[in-house]
Amino acid sequence: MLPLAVTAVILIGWALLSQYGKIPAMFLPSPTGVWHAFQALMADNYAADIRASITRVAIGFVAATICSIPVGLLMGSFGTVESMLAPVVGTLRYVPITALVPLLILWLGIDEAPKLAIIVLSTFFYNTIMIADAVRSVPRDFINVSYTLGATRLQVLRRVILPAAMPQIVDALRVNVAVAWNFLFIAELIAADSGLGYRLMMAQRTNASDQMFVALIIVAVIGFALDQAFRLAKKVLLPWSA
Amino acid sequence: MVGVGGLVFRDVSKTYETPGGPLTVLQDINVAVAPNEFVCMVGASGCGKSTLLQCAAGLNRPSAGTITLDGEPVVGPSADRGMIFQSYTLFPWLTIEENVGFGLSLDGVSAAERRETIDRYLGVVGLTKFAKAYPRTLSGGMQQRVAIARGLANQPRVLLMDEPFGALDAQTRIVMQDFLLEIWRTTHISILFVTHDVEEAVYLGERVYVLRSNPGRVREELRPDFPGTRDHHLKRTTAFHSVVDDILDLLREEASAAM
Ligand SMILES: Nc1ncnc2c1ncn2[C@@H]1O[C@H](COP(=O)(O)OP(=O)(O)OP(=O)(O)O)[C@@H](O)[C@H]1O
Ligand SMILES: [Mg+2]
Repeated sequence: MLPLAVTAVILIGWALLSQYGKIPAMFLPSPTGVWHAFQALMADNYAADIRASITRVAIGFVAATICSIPVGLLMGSFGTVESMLAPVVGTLRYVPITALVPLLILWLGIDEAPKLAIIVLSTFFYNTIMIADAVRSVPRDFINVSYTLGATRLQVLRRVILPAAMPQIVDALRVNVAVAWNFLFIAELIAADSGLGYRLMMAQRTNASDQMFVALIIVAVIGFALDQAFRLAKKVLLPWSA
Repeated sequence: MVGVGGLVFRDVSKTYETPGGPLTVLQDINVAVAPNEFVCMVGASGCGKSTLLQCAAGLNRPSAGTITLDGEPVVGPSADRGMIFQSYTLFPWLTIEENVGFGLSLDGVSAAERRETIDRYLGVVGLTKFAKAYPRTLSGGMQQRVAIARGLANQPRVLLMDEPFGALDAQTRIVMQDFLLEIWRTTHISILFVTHDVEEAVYLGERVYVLRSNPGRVREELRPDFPGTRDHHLKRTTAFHSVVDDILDLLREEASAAM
């Protein structure tokens, strides 16, 4: 209820400001102007760009997650793996992924590959570090008691550490999907011929602030929906963690 | 000293490497738990009780000496030696019955057989009607009862208990002590029970080892012999209190010597 009220207040404020605020429409379009821009964009196959962006994030994020779960689990569980990987992951963590963009374009061209690579890299590092942390916070006695119940190392990993860390892992994924979404824009603003970022850049060339607003609102809505989806998934799949 | 049967510690020592140099927490421990025996160990906080149990469980390695179970050396953890911890260790993502069946599910016991064992031990601990509940909906005392059922369901040869009632309030603790005695009488399992509560040790143990600290060593071995079966009336008898007081005196000597 409250979020709806806040949204309404913002919309009304925005409408009033654009109507009476004496701000040129070039800087602040009116809500109806944005709505018309949205309709015009949809007529111009905007849906394909939305799809392109979502697909990129989905593929990149899923691929990164599939890789980061086992690596994070091993890093958090075993000292040797940790000491092997920590310097690498720990150092790369401080390299802004954006700084890799020119290199990625050089190596991978300007097609889909570099965009996916940016998303995969950014998500992979943050996921791995956060999953390893989640694993390290599993109570030591959970692990000890499993061994005394006859579990092997692999069983402890799969049947105790993984489920025990799961709520924190889902939270990490929820945070990092927003990160992936951020990096998608960086990728698309720099080199793309489709996607929301690409359309945003096109809008900038013609100073079409109404179109920029359309892109921003869509991004916000999708980001919000993703966040809610992860919260819901956690509630449904891990009801015990509430 | 008992023969080769049961759980036997021979000259067990444990030294931890710490930043401040080596720290010997256990020295020349010679202790045994015969089959079907209920043995308690009592000692001050930090005297190495948990370390000793972890060594028996195979979760920790002695620096010297050997530990054997029915003549076989202990080299690592196994379902032979169940352990109950002071902290609540039920897996929150599993229901009570899944927790109790956890050990059995690890080595592919058939579902039907598992069902039967789970039902039996849930019955033993009196929590049948909570079978489908999740641990967080149970009180601390109930959770420890489930943890004991989970340990028993594996049918270990010895149950190692590390202050299992330490986190419980006084009343629940008393109920749990009687409950554990009852379980021991019906299942005939060997128990090595560690506590710093002297009354608890004397009430529960057929034999009691008193430990001294820094480094942990066996100070005294007692066999409190009370007539009749143990129940809460025992705690009001002078015989009981004189044993408790003797042990308290030993521990007090220890503590003042350490000051
Ligand atoms: N991994 C370790 N490294 C270094 N020192 C340790 C380690 N584990 C335990 N110790 C030390 O060994 C001593 C004995 O610890 P332990 O936990 O076995 O005692 P305890 O009798 O179980 O104590 P409590 O009654 O508090 O549970 C303590 O001084 C503790 O600080
Ligand atoms: Mg302890």
